[in-house]
Amino acid sequence: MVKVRYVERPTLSTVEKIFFIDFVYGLKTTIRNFFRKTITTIYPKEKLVPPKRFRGTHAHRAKDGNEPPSFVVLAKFMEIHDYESRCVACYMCQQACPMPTLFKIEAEQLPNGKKRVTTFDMNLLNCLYCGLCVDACPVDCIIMTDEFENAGERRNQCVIHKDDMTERGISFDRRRGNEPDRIWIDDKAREKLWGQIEWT
Amino acid sequence: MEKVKITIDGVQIEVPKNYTVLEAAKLLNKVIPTFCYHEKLPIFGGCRMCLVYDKKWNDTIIACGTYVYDGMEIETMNDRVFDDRKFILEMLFTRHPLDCPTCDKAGECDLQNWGTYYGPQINVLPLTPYDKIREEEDWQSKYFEFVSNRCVLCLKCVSVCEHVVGANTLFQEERGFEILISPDKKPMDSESSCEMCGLCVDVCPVGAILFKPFEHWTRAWLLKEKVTYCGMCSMQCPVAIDYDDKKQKIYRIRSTADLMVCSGAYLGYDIFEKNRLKEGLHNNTQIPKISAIQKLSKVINENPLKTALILSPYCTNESIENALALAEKTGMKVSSTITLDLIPAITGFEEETGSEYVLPSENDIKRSKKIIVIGDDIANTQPVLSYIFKDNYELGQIVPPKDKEIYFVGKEIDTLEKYSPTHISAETEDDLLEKVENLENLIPEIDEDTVIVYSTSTLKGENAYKIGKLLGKIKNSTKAETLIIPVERNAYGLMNRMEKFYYLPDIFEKIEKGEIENLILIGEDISLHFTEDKLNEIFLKLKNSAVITPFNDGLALSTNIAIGSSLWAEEDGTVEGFRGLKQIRKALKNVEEEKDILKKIIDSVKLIPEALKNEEDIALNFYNYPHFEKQEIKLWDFGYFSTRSDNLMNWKMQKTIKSEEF
Repeated sequence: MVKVRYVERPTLSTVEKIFFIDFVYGLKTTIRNFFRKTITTIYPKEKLVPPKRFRGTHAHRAKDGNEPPSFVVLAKFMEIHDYESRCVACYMCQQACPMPTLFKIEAEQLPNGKKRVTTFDMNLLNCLYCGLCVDACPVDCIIMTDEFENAGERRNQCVIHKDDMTERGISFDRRRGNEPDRIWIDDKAREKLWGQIEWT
Repeated sequence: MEKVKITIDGVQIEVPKNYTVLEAAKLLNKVIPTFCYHEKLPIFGGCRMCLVYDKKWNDTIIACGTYVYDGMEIETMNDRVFDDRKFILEMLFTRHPLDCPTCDKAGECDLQNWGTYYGPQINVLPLTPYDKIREEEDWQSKYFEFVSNRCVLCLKCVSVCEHVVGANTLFQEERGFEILISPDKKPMDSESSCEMCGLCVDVCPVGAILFKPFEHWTRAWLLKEKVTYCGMCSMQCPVAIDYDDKKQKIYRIRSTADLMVCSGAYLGYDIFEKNRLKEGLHNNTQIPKISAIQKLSKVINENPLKTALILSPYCTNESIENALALAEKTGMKVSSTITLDLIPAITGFEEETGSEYVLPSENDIKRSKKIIVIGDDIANTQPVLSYIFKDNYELGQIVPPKDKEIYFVGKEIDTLEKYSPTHISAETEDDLLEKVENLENLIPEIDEDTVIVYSTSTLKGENAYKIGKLLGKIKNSTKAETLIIPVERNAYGLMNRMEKFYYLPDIFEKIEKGEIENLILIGEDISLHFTEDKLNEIFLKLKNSAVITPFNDGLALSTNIAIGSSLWAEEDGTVEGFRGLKQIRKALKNVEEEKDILKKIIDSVKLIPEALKNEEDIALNFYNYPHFEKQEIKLWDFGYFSTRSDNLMNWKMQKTIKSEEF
C-alpha cells in the first residue's frame, strides 16, 4: 500500500492574504533575471563553438606528417598516400565499441602485397558517442570533432564514410589544431564560478 | 617403463622416467607458456619461456627440456618464476616491432597473449621503433613471406620442415640475434623443395612467417573456426576451416595440433569461390535448380532401364546411399570410376589372400621398419602419408628415432626423393608387374615389420587386378602389411556400399551399342580416367546426359542438364578413408547439399516395378580398355578440384615453366 503523507498548509495572516506578499517574493528571481543579459542562443542563427574535447561526429586524421611513432612501423605495410586517411584497418575501434556492428571495415591486399583500406563506414544511428574507439586507435586516426549537426532526413544520411571522415578530420585539424587540447582554469577562477569545496 | 614419483604444485603424480617436466605438468592441466615447444617436434629449449621452479635445486629450470627424477618437487608458478618469465618477455620485446595492427597473426599470437598476461611491458632499453629494424630476407615466393623483424628465434619452422614434413626446405642463416630463416633455393615456389604445406606458418608463435594469400584481408578474431576432416584426398587429415559466417567465405584452411595438412587444403582453399554452379544449366542456358531437377527426373521417368548412373568416390556416404536408393527405385545401371582401379586391385588381393582386406592403421606404419612404395610416388598422391614415414616423435622419446628403410618401385621418384629411397626402376606397366612379381628377390627381408604401399592411381583395369593378385601373394608368403590406398576421398565407402555394379567400360560399350541412352554423372571423375576424344564420342552417342557437379566450367558445358551441388566443406556426412569412418562437418551453409538434391530426385521419379524384379547377374571382368588415360599425379593434383584452384594452378605453372627451361 502506498501511504499518503499530508502536509499542513501554512496559515497566512490577513495582510499577507490581501497583498500577495508570498507571490511578489516568489517573483523576485524572475524579475532579477528579466534585467540580466541572456545566456541562451537563438540556435539556427547563433551557434556556440563547443570545446575541443567535445564528442561530436567522428573523423579520420589524414597522413600529414604528424603521425605518432607507431604509425611509422606500420606504414611500410600500407598503401597510404599523403592527405589520405591514416587508418590501417586494425579493427581495434570495432573491438572497443560497445555496439560493434555499427562499423563496417574492409581492407584488401594489393598486387604489390600492401594493405589498403577500402571501406570504413560508421552507422551513427547506433552510436552512443562514448569515445572508446578514439582511445583504442593505435595510430591516432579516428577522432571526435566539434561538429554536432548530424541529423538527417533519411537513414542513409546518418552513415559516415571514409572519405568524408577524412575531409572532416582535415578541416577540424585546420580549425582547431593549434588550440590546447584541454583548457585548465586556475583554482581561484573555479572557486569564483562554482564556490568552495568544504572537506571534512 | 620405469616410473618415478614427482610433486607438482603440491600434487603427487607418478610418470614414466623419460617424461619431461612439461609433459608431466600437462597431465595435471598446468598452463606453462612456451614458444619453441611442440609435442610433435624434438626438444629445442631455445626460448626459455617455460621456466619453472625446482625446490631441491633452488633454481628455475626449463620445463620442456628437463627430465623428471625421483622425488622432484616443482612449483609451476611463484613470484620468482613470474619475474623470470617477465624478464624473458622483456628481452623478446626489445626487438619486436609491435606492428600488431597490421600483423596477421594478431589475435592468435603467442607473444601477444603471454605479453599481455605478464604485462604491462615496459621498454627496458632506449630503443625506438626505428632502431628495431633487422636485415630483411625476401623468400621470393607468392605464397609465403618472412618478416625478419617479428621473429622470436624459436626455429620451430625449421624443425617442422625437417622432422614432420621431411622436405628440409627451411634453414637458418647467420647466428644469434641475426638469425634469418631462408629456403634452400630461391625463388622458393619454383626452385626449392617446398611442398607448400604451410606448417611453418601454423607453428610460428608470432607473425614472422605469413601465408600471403591470407594477408591483410581480415583479422583472425573475426573468423569462425570449424574443425573437420579434409576432403581433398583419402587421407582425412584433421583441418581447421577459418571462414566468415556473414559473407559465407572461406579465408584459409590450416592444420590442427596434429600438424597434418598438405598443399591441397592449404593452397586449395579457393576452390569454393571460383566457377561455382549455384543453379542449374540446360543446354548451357541457366535455369533454376528446381526445374533442372524436374527435367532430369523426366528423363529418368521416360526410359529408366536405359539409363546409367556413374557415382563419384568423392561423395559422402549419405549421398551414395541416396543415389543407390534412386538406382534401386528406377532400375538404373550403376557404375563408378573406382571399378577401374580400386575394386580390381582389392578383388585380386582378396581372391589371393582369401580374407577381407583390412587397411593398416597409422600406428602400423609408424611402427614399421621398412616401407616399399609401389607404382606412383606416394608423396605426390598422398603427401601427408609420407609425413608418417618420417614422424616418429612420441611423448617422452629421448633418442631421435631411426629413419625407415624406404624402397621405391616405379617410374621416377619425384617428391619421395626427400627420403632418398632405394629406387628399383620400372618404366612401363608390364615392367612394374614383373618387378612386383620378383619383389622378394629384389628387396631382402620382407617381413611383418614391412609396409607395402600401393596407390591405386597407378594401374587400371586388368593390370590393377593383376597387381592386386601379386600383392596378395606377397602378403601370403611374407605377412607384410599392405596398404592399398585410393586417391579419392570416399572410395572405400563407395566400395563397401555398392553391391550390384557394372565395370565402367561395359557401360561405355553399351552406350555405343545403343543399349543405354541416358547417362547421369555425379562428379566429374570420369574426365580424369578416359581420353577426351573418347568422352566426346560417348556424349555424342547419348540422347540425354546429366551431371551433378559443383563447377560450371567442366562437364557442365558438355552435358544437357547440369545441377549445382556442394563441395567438401559444404556438406555434413560420413566418409571412409585411411583413418576409417569419420564424421565431417560443414562450414558454409549457403549451398544445397548433394544428398538433398538426390533426395529431391528420388521423390520426383516414378517407381518402376520391373526394377525390383530385375535380378540380372553382372559378370565382372576387368579387361584393358584402349581409351584409358593415365593421369600423372603431382603435388598440386587433387581429383577434379585442383584445376579450379588459382593458387594450385599458379604454383603448377611456376614449377612446369622452370622444368621446361632446362
